Amino acid sequence: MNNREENSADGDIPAIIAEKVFKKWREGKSLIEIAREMNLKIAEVKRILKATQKSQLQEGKVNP
Amino acid sequence: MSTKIILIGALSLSSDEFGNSRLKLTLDGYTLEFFAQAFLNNTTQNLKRAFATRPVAAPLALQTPSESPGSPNRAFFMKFPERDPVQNHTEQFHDSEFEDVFDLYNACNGIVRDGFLDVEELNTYTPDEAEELNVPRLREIWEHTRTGCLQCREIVQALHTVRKTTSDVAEYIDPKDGPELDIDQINSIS
Repeated sequence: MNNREENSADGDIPAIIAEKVFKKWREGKSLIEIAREMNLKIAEVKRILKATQKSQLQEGKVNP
Repeated sequence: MSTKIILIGALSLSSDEFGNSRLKLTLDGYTLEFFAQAFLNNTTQNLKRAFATRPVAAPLALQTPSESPGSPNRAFFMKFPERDPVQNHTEQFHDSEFEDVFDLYNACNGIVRDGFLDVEELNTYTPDEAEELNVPRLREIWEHTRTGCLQCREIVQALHTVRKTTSDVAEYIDPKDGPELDIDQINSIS
């Protein structure tokens, strides 16, 4: 399976979407800005972002 | 106005589990049993939030079930078993299926004021946005962070570090995977 077709840590979200959301967040974009730029609902961005953040932390890249 | 207490035996019912559950109501010498979903239609989200935000008891404005005798305006109060360990109580602020400190961080866009996430950022949302973000719950979490919770502080610091780290996101997005999708064409992923 192509990596872009895989699901993200959230399970229901295509990895490419999660990656885009996460990248924009790291660029300093707010939830609202990300939602508007990607034409997503705020609740979706919220869910995606949290799942990706927790996945990053659990992978040990940064320990809380 | 009289009230009734509906006891639910578990704290972690999923909406599906709850939908299949029967509630038992005893009052004034009679007992009623009915499917929870029969009178909780359209209130599942409220219930889920109640589980997340009211560990002891959650008064909810619910419709009176048609099977119930008496006044149609009677209010129902749902009482949940108390979570005993303090740790369980605080853990909901750190890692929850619903809102937790990660959501607070994101809603505040990571802005820190006087050592805490800037709660004033929560005032910048429209009513609809605030509802989607569950701002009342985020304020509860912020109040928790003000206790000086070390774990919250560490999570905030870790998120700062993740956000500011200089490692290229390209390691996360392999350009060899092919052309990027047009995100603008995606209206909803759910």
